[in-house]
Amino acid sequence: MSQVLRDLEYESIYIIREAIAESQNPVLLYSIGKDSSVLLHLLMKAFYPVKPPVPLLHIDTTWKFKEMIEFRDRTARELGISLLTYTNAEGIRLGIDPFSTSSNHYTAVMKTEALKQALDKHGFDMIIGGARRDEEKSRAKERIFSVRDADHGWNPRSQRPEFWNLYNCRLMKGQTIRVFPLSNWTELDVWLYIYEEDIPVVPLYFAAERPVVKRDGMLIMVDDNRFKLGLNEKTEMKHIRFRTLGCYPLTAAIESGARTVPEIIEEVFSADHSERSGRLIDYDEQNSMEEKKVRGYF
Amino acid sequence: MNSSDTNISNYLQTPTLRLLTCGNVDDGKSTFLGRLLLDSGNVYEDHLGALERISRRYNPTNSGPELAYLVDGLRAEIEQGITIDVSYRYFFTRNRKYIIADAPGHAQYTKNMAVAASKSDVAVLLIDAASGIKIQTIRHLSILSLMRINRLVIAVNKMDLVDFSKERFDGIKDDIGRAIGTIYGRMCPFWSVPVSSRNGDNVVRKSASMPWYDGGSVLEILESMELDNQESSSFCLPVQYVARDADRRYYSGTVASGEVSVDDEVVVLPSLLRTRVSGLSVAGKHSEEAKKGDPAMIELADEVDVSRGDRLVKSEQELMQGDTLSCQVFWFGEKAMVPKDVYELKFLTYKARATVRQVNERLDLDSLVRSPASRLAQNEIGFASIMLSTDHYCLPFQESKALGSFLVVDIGTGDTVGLGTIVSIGKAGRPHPYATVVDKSMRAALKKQGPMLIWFTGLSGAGKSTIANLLEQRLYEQGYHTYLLDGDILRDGLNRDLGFDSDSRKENIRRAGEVAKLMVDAGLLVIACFISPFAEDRTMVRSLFRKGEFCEVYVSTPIDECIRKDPKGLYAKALRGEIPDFTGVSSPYEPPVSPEVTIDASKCSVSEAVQLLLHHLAED
Repeated sequence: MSQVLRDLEYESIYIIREAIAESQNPVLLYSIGKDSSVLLHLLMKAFYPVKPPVPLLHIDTTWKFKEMIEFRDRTARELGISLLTYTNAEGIRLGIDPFSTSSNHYTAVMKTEALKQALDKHGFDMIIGGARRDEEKSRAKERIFSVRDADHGWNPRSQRPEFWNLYNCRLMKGQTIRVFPLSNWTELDVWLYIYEEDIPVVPLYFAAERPVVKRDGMLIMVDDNRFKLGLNEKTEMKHIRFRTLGCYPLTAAIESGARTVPEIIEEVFSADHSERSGRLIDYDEQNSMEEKKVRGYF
Repeated sequence: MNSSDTNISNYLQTPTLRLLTCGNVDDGKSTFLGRLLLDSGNVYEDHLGALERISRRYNPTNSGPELAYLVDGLRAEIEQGITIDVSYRYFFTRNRKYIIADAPGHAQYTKNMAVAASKSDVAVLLIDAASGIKIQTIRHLSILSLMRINRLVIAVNKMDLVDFSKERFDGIKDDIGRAIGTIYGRMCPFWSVPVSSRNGDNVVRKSASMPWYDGGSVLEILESMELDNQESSSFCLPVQYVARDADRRYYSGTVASGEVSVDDEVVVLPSLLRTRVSGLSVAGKHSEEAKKGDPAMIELADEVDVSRGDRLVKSEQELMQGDTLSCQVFWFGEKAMVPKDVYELKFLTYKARATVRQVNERLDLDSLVRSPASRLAQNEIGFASIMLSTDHYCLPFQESKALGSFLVVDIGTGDTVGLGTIVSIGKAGRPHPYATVVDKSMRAALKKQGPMLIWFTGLSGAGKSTIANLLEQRLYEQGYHTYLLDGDILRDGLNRDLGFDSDSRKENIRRAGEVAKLMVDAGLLVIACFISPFAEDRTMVRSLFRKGEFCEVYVSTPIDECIRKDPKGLYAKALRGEIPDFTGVSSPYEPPVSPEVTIDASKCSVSEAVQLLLHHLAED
């Protein structure tokens, strides 16, 4: 393996082992995207030949792409790892959905609140996730082992200093730690690693003809019949793919001809827009991600 | 892959460069970084759009986007116009991946500067061309030297404000060279570059405004920078996690130094149980060996008790053992560090309760003066001794960053309140090695030699002194700093109170060992000649030294030959019964089991013996 990827892989394995060794009740937050695929692959390697002693948790908003859910269930089955899913039932009862609710409120209820409920329900103390520092400015400031208060909130002004590979995992009552083994990976690294290790990812990352609607300059895929067309809106077939995957009504596609991993790598190597430019929830307001993280978003 | 193959393979094969940027708060660090990202093609269009919106909102009078906002992330930072926390930036060129740790320049955030330095290979230090070196610059240099950052790029920024003056640049270059020399205590290689971040001169592109500068831009220097690593090579694996399946145990951990192969004998610390590596995998693949940095999973031949925090080594002598750490401490806690306070220390995978025994000194970062102190307040750096509840095995920070550092954790709040780097480790009760700024490795570096003790043992008249004398002569001629420690001279002075009974002989050897240890600590090549007939005494002397610092030379000339030559007539007297307890006659000589070198002086000339020794020393 090339030096850049090997260094990243080794660093991540150390972090994963450290998190699980220090934890009473660890969980891996599995979001089904390419970063989660890499994280899962690293988890398997970290404990090979033994099965990793940690379950997966997926926060299901019920608005994920259908292909994501199929991929999730198949992956857990094939790896033989236990998969927990959680949906905020109260949000469903209140009819919170991404079309009729503001993206801010929807995310707060169906993602942030749901995650907090799931973590409290199972009492997880160490939550491993696939966030990367190069995704967004406030993530760029987060530690690899990031302490959350009893309400799962992040306090960016009092983070524990980290040096070399020394990680303080001591928890006070109510505290939990979010762990980010992929902190130092970039989008390019993730794709290069997927290529080199032949890691399966959701097919939505690869370009294909798909039905989309153009809304506020973004291409939104019509994934099921819950999609409500507005006046003058029409569904058209376009050759698209996704750079990130989330809830389908809130995740914009890009027009692309990249059908294979090497073609995606080529596209990323010469991209002129950031990866999260297709994430509508990042654009609610300046510092939007920071606000969400302070309140407990991943 | 396709057309971009070669570009990507360059990117993939060059080691990632981790750099930190630092400098006085007004020296334009964020603007420099923004320029670096922009001109190297690492700013996306949507980020530039957002940048222009923020620039208009927070600074409506300024024309054009404020490049600094590209890197200042948190809301409080933008509002206050300062950087609060370390921010990590990732960018790549056709040649290399970079990770930038952007360290805040504001005085109260010294902690974050140390955080940023800890994982960096190189530091880019910004200096304002108009105002020159400030006290903050000196403080940052001091922290860089304490964190062992040994590659520096000095970016003399805002050259546009001094009319791109060569004289101004040269003046600052001289000043910073002197400061580096003083702070690092020796010459640390550095590059200095005249830069204007605002205009982009010499950040990525070479400047047209400074034709007198013939060096590379900052990025050009970074692109070709090579990384090397001079650290301890003794194998050590801190056990991180013990995994089990139905019938086996697997010990996982990242190799902290050295390397190990299948079938190697290993020692478990602290239990000292011995076993053998029977199986090995690295990152999910079976492997014959694992080297520094590899996340290994090890199977052992015997069912020994090994748990997280234990260490696997090849020889326990390769690490230092003790319960009292003499260390340098960066203190971050709001509550001061004072003697008798109890904390939890976290080494790589090992945690231990520890009591502050003594705070010795405080380091003034502005003047580099060390003054006596009894406590360390927040953001102070000092020297202390800390006592652990049980023995620990580690290395000095100068030899291994990984095995020579630890976190200090407040048990009540869980906060990380300090960072320790180990100067030395000792045993409570024994005179404690005092934490000195200039240490053994620095003294030895000045002499350009690896200090060690060459201990000659053998019968009286075996030829020890003759060989040792010629050896010293040869070493001296080659420019080495040596000292020949002679038993008779010791007995004339330091040991004049000792007789020849067995207790006195033991003490004679012990003192000789301790004196030799001080001399090795002073950076010397020490040659000692003592009959030292008892294995126990020689083992005791050996235990005072690190592996590789002690070379036992057994002069094995047979006793018949010694009696025949008898240069001092001692054997004749002893055989007549005039000398009691004479080694070889009326007292036993216990030959060494595995000496580093064995010489039978009856079978070779003195100069051949010395050649053999020089050859052996050169190999080490």
